[in-house]
Amino acid sequence: MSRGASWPKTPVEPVAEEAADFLRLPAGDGRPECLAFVPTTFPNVGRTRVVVCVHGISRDFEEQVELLRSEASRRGYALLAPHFDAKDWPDYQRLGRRGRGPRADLALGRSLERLEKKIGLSISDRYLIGYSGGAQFVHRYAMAHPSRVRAAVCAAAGWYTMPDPARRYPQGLNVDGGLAGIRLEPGEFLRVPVLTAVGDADVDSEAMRSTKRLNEIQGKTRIERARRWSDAMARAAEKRAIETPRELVLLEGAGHDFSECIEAGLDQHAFDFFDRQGASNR
Amino acid sequence: MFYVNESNGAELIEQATVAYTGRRVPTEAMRCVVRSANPKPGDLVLAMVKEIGHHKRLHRVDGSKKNLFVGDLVIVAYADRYAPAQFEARVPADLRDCDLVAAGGIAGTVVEKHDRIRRDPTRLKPLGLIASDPEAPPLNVGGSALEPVVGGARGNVPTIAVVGTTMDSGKTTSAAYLVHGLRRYGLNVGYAKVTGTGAAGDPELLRDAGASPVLDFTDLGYASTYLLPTAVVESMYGELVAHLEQAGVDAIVIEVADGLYQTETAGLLESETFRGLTDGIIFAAGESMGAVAGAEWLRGRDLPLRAIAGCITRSPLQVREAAACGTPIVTLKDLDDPATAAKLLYTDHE
Repeated sequence: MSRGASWPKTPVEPVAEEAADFLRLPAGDGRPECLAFVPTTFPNVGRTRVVVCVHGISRDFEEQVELLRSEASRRGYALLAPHFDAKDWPDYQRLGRRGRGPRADLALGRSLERLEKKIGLSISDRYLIGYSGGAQFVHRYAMAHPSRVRAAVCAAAGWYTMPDPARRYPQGLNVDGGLAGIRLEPGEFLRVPVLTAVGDADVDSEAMRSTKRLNEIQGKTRIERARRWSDAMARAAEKRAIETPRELVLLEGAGHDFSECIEAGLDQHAFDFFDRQGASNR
Repeated sequence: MFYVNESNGAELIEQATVAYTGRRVPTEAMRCVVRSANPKPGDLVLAMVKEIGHHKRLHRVDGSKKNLFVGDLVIVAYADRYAPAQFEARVPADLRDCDLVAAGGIAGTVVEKHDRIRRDPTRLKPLGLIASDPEAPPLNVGGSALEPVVGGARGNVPTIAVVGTTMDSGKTTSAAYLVHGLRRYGLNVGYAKVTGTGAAGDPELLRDAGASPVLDFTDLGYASTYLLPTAVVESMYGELVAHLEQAGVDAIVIEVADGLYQTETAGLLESETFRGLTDGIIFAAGESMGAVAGAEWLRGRDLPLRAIAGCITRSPLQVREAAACGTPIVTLKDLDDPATAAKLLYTDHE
């Protein structure tokens, strides 16, 4: 485990909608509203790299773009931040199980297609970063659609889908018709490079799903849960002799707050991790 | 007798007949047999036929029927079953011996059966759940289902729902003749069955009647819909309509299994999704009292009843009795008539 350095907070200006680098994609045809940031440095080295940023239950998708755009711009990545609002996307963290909400994973695919049309370029590498509830979405999306994810960063997820074939989704991998067309195959999703991050002061369990069974299996704090999930994923990969970059980072001084995590270097860690994965070859 | 060990699972799978319920699961994904997990609805199981009972044949993936013999290997799906004229069955808690509770390929434990079913169910000996590898979850029919259409149903294609008093009241036959009548009128007709137990017979009949595409709940990832929450069934109705809309049909005929008193059916008919996407209802009844009671039930909920059909139309006397409810009663010949079929499709809510 590496411990994150405390990075100085990058001064961030509020998102200016009229700026040429920002695109607002309205909701429609089953797609959520999205905010995209396409820097002048994009595409870079012939690669069209897009990072999908997924918000938590505060739904502050604009804050994610604001706080990640400086690093994205410097390295030539575009950002796409969907807004899964509470009314229309009540189950987005679990991808949208039948009867509980529309399929957020499929909607994201449509949003990326829309972005491609808008910018007139095909996306070569798709990365995901999610914070809190967004990290729940991100790791489940990577499990469900491993071939569509170059690398993923899961920050401060409240709980995880464990690589346990005997337990029912979303606790485990056993998916039924509730998530139609999805098979969670460890032989595939364990190949996705994943960076798990959590603030080392993120120990308040009040706003976190907590049941006796979940606490026993995953732990009582986000730190414990991140560690147990990372370990379980690493063990599952080892069993199959799959060697994939998998890292866990504790962000120094950060509680359960996205801007504190950025101050503690989440953006640097995330983009460094993405850069290290090289071009898509999967 | 077969025994599964670490090395012979794939070989046994290859020898087995895959049932209709497992038709969407790619056979190349069926690579091993696991005994470490307990069955859940929709999981595929490799089983040996232990005794032949009520079901003597199994529907294959292409709809043809395989005669069963003791010792045959089959791949079927675990599911709960609701069939008032046959069996009520539940998914067992573990891989103990169980029953073949539907010819479409459903494994379960019978809890009750209709008095007319003389024989015990056909018995199965599960050898293990089927998976793609020993550490992967069991293959579930949901994993190979159609993904929902992003954006959902638009409600821009006229849609008739066929509902009824109970199992065997004539819903599927009525739906088939309505489809045939609409085809003769010159329309492209899509058909779907939203609830029920997976079987090849109904989709085959509807294909023969001219419906295309023909979909059912098995395409959405369920071997049976018994005990599914209402919100799930409601969502499935919208998804099936959306798939048929996307196929570009001119008319949709959608069948709801079992009777108005069945929990999932009642829940669906009272839902906003059903109300919003359904232009008319054909009610299939077995006899006059059921027809009148059903018409009252539907009218009491302000649902757009267009006509009564079904087995009742075989009895002129009962048709006369049911006529008192004031709803048109249509025979199979009427449904097959292009002008009548089109009138049922396009007439506004009475």
